[in-house]
Amino acid sequence: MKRVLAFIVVAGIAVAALYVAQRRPQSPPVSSNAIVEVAADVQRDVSRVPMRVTRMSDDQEIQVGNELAARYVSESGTLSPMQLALQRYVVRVGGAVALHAKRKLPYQFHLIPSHDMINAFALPGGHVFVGEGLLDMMMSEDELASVLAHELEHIDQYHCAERVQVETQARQLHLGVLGELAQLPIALWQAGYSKDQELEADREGLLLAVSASYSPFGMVRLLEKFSRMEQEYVIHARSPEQELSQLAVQSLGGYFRSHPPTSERLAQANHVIESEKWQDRKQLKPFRVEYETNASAR
Amino acid sequence: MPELILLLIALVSLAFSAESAVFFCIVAVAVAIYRRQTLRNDFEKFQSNLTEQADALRREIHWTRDKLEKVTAQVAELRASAEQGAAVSTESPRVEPAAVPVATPQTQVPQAPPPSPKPVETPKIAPLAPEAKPVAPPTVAPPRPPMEKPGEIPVAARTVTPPVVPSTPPTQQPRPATPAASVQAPPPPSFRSQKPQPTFTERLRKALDLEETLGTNWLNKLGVVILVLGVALFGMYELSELGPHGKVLLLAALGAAMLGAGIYLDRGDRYRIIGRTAIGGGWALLFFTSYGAHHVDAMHVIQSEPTDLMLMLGVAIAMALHTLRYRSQVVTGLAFLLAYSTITLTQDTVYALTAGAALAVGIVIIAVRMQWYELEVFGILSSYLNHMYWLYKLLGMQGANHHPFPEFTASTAILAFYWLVYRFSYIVRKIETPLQENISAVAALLNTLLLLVVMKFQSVHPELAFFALLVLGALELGFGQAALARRRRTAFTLLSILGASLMIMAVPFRYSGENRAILWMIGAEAFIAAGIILRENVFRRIGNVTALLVALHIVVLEVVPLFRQRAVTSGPLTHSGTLLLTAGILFYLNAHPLRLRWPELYSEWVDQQMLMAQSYFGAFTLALGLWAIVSWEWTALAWAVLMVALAFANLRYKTVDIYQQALLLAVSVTVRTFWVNLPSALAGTNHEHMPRVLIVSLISAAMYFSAWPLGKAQGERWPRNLLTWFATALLAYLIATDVQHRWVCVAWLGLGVALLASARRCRLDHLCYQEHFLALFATISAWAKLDVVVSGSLMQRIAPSLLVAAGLYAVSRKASLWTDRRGQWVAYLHTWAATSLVAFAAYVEFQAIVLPVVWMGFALVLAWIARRFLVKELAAQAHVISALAVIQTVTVVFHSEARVQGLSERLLVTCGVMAALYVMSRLVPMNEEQRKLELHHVYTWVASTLGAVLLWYELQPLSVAVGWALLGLLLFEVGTLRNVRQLRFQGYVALFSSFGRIFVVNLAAGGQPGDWLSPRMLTVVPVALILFFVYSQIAFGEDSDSSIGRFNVTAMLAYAGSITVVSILYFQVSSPWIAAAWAVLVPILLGTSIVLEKEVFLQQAILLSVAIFSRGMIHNLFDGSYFTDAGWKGRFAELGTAIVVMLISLPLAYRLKRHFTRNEKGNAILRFVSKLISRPEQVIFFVPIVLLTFMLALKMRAGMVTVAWGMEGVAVFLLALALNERSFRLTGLALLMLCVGKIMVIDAWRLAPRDRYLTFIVLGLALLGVSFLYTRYRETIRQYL
Repeated sequence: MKRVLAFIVVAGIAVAALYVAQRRPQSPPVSSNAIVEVAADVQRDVSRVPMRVTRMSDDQEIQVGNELAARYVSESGTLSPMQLALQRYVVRVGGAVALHAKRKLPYQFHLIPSHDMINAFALPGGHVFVGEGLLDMMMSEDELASVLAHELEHIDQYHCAERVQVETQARQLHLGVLGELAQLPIALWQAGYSKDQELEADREGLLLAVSASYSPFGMVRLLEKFSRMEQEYVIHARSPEQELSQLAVQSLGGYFRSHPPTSERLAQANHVIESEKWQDRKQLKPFRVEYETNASAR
Repeated sequence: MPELILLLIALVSLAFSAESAVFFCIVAVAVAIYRRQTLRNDFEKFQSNLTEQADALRREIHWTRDKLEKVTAQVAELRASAEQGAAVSTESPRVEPAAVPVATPQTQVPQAPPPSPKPVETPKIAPLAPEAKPVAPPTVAPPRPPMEKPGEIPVAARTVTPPVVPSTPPTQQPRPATPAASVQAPPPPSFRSQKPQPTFTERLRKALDLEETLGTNWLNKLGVVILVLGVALFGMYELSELGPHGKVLLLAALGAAMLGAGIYLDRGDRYRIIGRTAIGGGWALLFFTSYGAHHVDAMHVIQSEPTDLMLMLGVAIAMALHTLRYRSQVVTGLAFLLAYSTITLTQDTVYALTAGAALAVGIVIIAVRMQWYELEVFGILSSYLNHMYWLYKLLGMQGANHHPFPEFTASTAILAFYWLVYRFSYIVRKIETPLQENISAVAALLNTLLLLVVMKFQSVHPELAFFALLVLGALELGFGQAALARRRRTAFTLLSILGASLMIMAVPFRYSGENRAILWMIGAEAFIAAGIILRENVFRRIGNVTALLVALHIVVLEVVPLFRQRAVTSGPLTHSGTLLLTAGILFYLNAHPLRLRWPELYSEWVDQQMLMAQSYFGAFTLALGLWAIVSWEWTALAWAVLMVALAFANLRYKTVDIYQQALLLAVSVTVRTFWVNLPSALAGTNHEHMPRVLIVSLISAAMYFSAWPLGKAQGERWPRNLLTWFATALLAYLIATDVQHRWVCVAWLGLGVALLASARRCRLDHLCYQEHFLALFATISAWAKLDVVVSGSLMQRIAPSLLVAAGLYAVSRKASLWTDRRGQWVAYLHTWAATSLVAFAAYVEFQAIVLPVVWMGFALVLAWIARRFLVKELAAQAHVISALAVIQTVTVVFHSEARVQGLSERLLVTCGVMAALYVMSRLVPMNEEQRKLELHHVYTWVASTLGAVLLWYELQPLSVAVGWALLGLLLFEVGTLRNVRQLRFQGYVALFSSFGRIFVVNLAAGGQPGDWLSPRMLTVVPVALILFFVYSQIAFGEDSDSSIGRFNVTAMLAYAGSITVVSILYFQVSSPWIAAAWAVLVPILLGTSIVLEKEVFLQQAILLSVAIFSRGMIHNLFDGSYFTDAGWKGRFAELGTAIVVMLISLPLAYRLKRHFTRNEKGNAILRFVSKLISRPEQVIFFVPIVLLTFMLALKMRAGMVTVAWGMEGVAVFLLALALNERSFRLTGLALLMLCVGKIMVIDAWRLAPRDRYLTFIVLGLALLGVSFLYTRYRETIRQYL
C-alpha cells in the first residue's frame, strides 16, 4: 500500500510538473551550456593557482598586448570623421574610468568601425576595443562607462593575462618571442570568459564606473537591453532534430562562451546597487559625441 | 656466293633493263633464302653429329678413367709387395724401378681396350725411382709373364700406362712418400642428358666463329663481286683505246684467268672456298663477255644476235657441265641461271625460246639423274617466268586480252612442252627422302599453276578454256594413275586432286550464269561414289572437299542474293529454296547415312571432320532453304519442325553433330520467334493475332516435344532443360504481348503453376526452376503494376497483385521437388514474394501517415498465421513488415504536424504502432532458445523507444526529461507487476536518458534569481524523485535487478538521483555558496545511509566531501578577487558554513565507522576507497579541518593567523580527547607545532609588536593547556595509542 501511495505521489508530482512546464509560454533553448559551464569553471579554478605563481610581469603583458592590438588595429581599416569622433568619445570616457583602475597600465581605447560588431573586448596590457554596433545601442554615457569598466576589469583582474598564459602553455609558445604570438587568434579574447570571471568583471566594473562618477544604472539599462535581445534572437528548437543540431553547434564553440545568463548578471548588478545603497544614483549622462567641423573641407 | 653473283648480274643488267634487274634480285633473294635453309639443315645435322661424337668421347673417357684407377691401384699393390720382397731378399732393388716408367704403345698390346681417338694422358703419375732415365718406346723390353718373378709389375699394368710424359728430372722428387699420394683421382664423369648452357668461352668462340666466317667466306666473295664489277665497268668505259675486240679479249682473259685460278685453288682444302668463288666469278665474267660482245656497244664484236645467243648458251652449257664436276647444285643452278638470263636478255623472237626448252630438258635430265629436285623448281620458275617475260614484252601489261597474235601457237606449244617435260620428270623420278617428295610436290604444283597463269596471260580463245581445263584435269588424273603405278602415292594424290580441281574449275567457264552448285555437287557425289566403289579415299576426299566447296559457294555467293530477294518479296523463293534444300539433303546424305553404312571408309580423322562440316552445312542449307520457301512467321515453325526431325534423327544416328545442330536450331527458333513472331503485334503489322498465338504455341510445344529425345540421346540434362527454358520463355513473352496488361502477372503465375504441376508429375526439377522465374517475374510485374496503375476501382488496381500473392502463398509448399533445405528456401521465397506484394499494395493504397498501422496489422496477421500453422518464414516476414512500419513511423509519422479532431496524428499512429509492437512481442512465434534469449522483447524495446521519441516530439524541450522519467517509471512498474524484466530494463534506460537530458536542457534553464520554482527546479526535482523512488523499489523490492551484467543498476540509480540533486544545487545556488549547499547534503546522505543501511549513500557522502574540499580550496580560497576581500561573508561565512555543517555531521560519520564490510580485494585504489568507506569519520573530520586551516591562513589578518591556528589546534586536541581519536589528536598537536614554527620563523620577526605579543601569549597558553591536558590524560591516551 505504501508503495502504491509513494508511486502515486511521485507520479503525481511529475505529472504536475509536466503540466506546469508544458504550460510555460516558452521553453529555454537547448544547449550544452550546463556541462560547458561546469567544465569552464573547473578549468578556470584549477588553473588559477598556478597562474598566480607563474604570473608574467606587467611589462611583458603590455608587450604582448601591444603586439596583438597592432595586428588587430591594422585589420580594422581607416575611420570616417564620425567614427573618429566616436573614438575620441570612447577614449575620453575610458580614460576617466581607467583613472580608478587598480593596476596602473597604459590603457588604450579603440573603436571597431563596424555596425555589426555588438561586442567589446579587452586585450592584455591595457587595450580595450568597442564595436560601433554596441555603441549604437547606448543611450547614455553611463552605459558606455559600464561597458568600458567591465572590459577594464578583465584586464585589471588578470583575466586577459591568464588567458595568454593558458593559451601559450597549451600551444607551447614562448612569450619572449613576439613572433609566436601571431598564432594566438583575437577571437580568444572576443569570445568572453568564464561565468565567474564575467560576474567578477561585472561586479568590479560596476564599482569602477561608480568610482568615476557614473551611475550604476548604466549597466542595469544595458543589461536589460541585452536581456530583451536574448529573448528575440535566441533560437528555440521545435523538434528533436533541431535540438540535436543546435546542441552540436553550440557544443563546438560554446566552451569560451559560457557567459552567465543576462538575468543572473542583472540580478547581481541590482544586488550590488542595493548592498552599496546606490538606489538614488539614477541620473544618467546623455550619450553625447562631439563632432569636429573641418572648415577647410568645406 | 651465288646470290652475290646474282646481285652483281642484277646490278649490271640494271644498266639495260630494270625488269631483268628486278627479276635477278628476286631470284637472288630466293636463292639466298634457299641457301639459308640448306645451311641451317646442314648445321643442325652437323650439330647432331657433334653431340653424338661428344657423347661417345665422354663415354670413352669415363671408361678409360675407370681402367686407369684400377691400374693405379694394382701398381700400388705391386709396389708394396715389391718393397716387402726387397726387404726380405738380398737381391738389389735397383732392378725394380727400371720397369715402372715403361710405356707400351697401344698397338703393341692386344689386350688393350678399344683404341681411343687420341692417346690418353696419365694424370700426374710420378716416377717411382728418381734415378730412372726416360726410356724410349723402341727400347722397351717385351712383356713377361706376370708370375715370372715375384714383385714384377704385371703386364696389364704396364700396358695401360701411357708414357705421354716420358720422364721427370730426377732431381725434382727423389722418392715419393707413398705411391698412392701421387695419383689424383679424376672427378666422376657427368652423363646429364640435357643440353649444357653455353659458357662464356663457348659464346666467345661462337663470336670468333662468326668472325672467321666473315673473314674466310664472305669477304672473298664480296671481293670477287666487286672485282668483276670493276673489271666490267673498267672494260666498258675506260679502256677505249683497246677497242671492242681488245676489251672482249681482255675480259675473256680475265674471266679465264679467274676460272683457272679458281680451279687450281679448288684442289686443296685450305683454299677451296676461295677457289670456288673464283670459279663462279670467272664464269660470270666469261658469260658477261659473251653477252657484251653483242649487246654492249663498247664491246660490240658480234653482229648476229643468234650467234651471240649461241655463244652465250655455249658458255652457259660449258659452265653447267663444268660445275657438274663439283656436284654442287648451287653452282650448276647458277650456270643455268646465267643461261636463262641469256635467253631473257636476247629473246627477240619466239625461236629464242626454244633454247629455254632445251634448257628445261637439260635441267630435267640433271635433276632426275642427280636428284637435284630443287634445281628443277628453279628451272620451272625460270622457264615459265622467262616465257611470261617474253609475252609481256610482246603483248604488254594486259596480255593477249583475247586478241590473236602470230606467235600464239608456237608459244602454246612451248608452254605445253614445258608442262609435259616437267610433269614427266615428276612421274619418273625416284624419291628417297620426304624432303625430296615435298620439293617435288612444289614443283608439280608450280608447273600447272604457272602454266595456267601464262596461258591466261596469252589467252586468245577463252571459249576453249573449259575444254583446256577439262583436258588438263583429265591428263593430271591420268598422270596420277601412272604415278600410282610407280608406287608414288603422294604424286597420285597430288595429281588426282589437281586434276579434279581443274575439272571443277572448268565448269564456270562453260556454265557461267547457271547454277553451278548443282553441277559441282553432282561431280562431288560422283567422286564420292567412285571413292566408295573403288575403296579409294582420295576420290572420296575429293568428293567431300568438292561438296564443302559447294557449301562455301552457297554461303558466299548464294546467301547474299537470297537475302536481297527476300528483301523485296515476302513470297516463297522456290528456286533458291529448292536448291538449298537439295544441297542440304545431299550434305546430310554424305554426312550421316553413308558413314553409318560404311563406317570403315570414314575412320580417319580428316574424313570425319569433312563429314562433320557437311553435316553442319546441311543443317545450315536446310534451315536456309526453309527460310526461303516458308516465309515470315511460319519460318520459325518450319525450323521447329526441322528441329524435331533432327532431334529424332539423333536417336538413330547418335552423333553429336545432329545433336548440336538441333540445339542451334532451337536457339535460332527462339531468336527468330522473339525477333519476328512476337513483336509483330507491337509493331502494328497486319499479321493476325491468332496465328501468332497458334504459331508460338506450336513452337513452344515443339520445343517441349524435342526436349525428350535430345535429353535421352546424349544422356545430358542441360539440352532438355535448355529447350524447355526456351519454350517457357516464348510462352512467357507471348503472355506479355497478348494478355491484357494488368493480368499478365496472373497469367505468368498460371503458367508457372502449370509447369509446377508438370514438374511434379514428370519429376523434372528444371520446370520448377522455370516456375520460380515466372513467379519472380509475376511478382515484379505485380509490383510494377501497383506502382503505375492509379485508375480504376480498388479491385482493379490491386486484384491482380493480390491474386498473384494468393497464388504464391498457395503454391509455396509445392513449389519444388525436394523436401530438404532447398525446398524450404523455395517456399520461403514464394511467401516472401507474396508478402512483399501485399505490403507494397498497402503502401500504394494507404496514406503514408496510416501506413505503419496497416503494416503492423498485416504483421500481426502474419505472426498469428505463423503461430497457428507453424509457418516459420511468416514470422520472419512479420519481423520485416514490423521493421518497415517502424521505419515509416520514424521517417514519416514523426514529422507529421497534422491533427485529427484536435489530436495529433503522430500521437495516434505512433500509439497504435506501439500497441501493435507490444502485442507482437507476445504473439510472434519463436523457439525456446530465442525465447530464452528474450529476442521477442526487441519489439518492446522498439515500442518503448518509439514512445520516448514520441514524447521528445510532442513535449516542449523542458518537459522531455520529465516525460522520459515518467515513461521509465511506468515501464518499471509494469515490468515489476508483470514480472517482465526487459520492461524494467527499458524503464532504466528511459530514466538514465532523462537523467542525461537534464544536463542538456533543464539545468541550464534558470529562471529569475531567487526564483526557487524556476523551470530548472520544476523539471529536475521530479526526475530526482523518480530516480530515488525506482531506486527504493529495487533496493527494497523482491526483484533482483540490482545488477545487469556489469552494471549495478541500484547504485547507478542512487548516484543518478544524488548527482541530480548536487547539480541542482550547483546551478541554483550562487557560486560561493555551492560548497556550503553541498555540505548540507553530507549529513543527509550519512543519515540516509544509516537509516536505509545502504553503503551507496555513504560512498556518495565521502565523494561529496572530496568535492567540497576541492571546491572550497580552489574556488572559495584561491579563486577570489585579487584586490577585494569580499567582506566577512566572502572570507568566512561561505566556506565556514560548509566547515561547520561537515563537522556537525561527524557524529553521523562515527555511527558508520566500520559499519559496512571492508573489501580487501581489488587493486590499491579500490582498497583505499574501501578503507575510506570503513572510516568515514576521518574524511568528515579532515576535510573541514584542512579547509579551516587554509581559510584561517588566507582569510585572517596576518597577525592573527597564528592565534587562530593555535585555537584551532587546542579545539582539535580537545575534540580528540573527547572522541579518543588518535589521528585527531595528532592533528591538534601538529597544528600547535605549526604555530610554534610559524612564530619562530615569521611572526617573531615580521609581526607588529602588538600582534607579536598577542600571538605569543595566546599560543603559549594554548600550548600550556594542551600540555596540561596531555599530561593529565596520558594514561588514557596510551590506551589508544
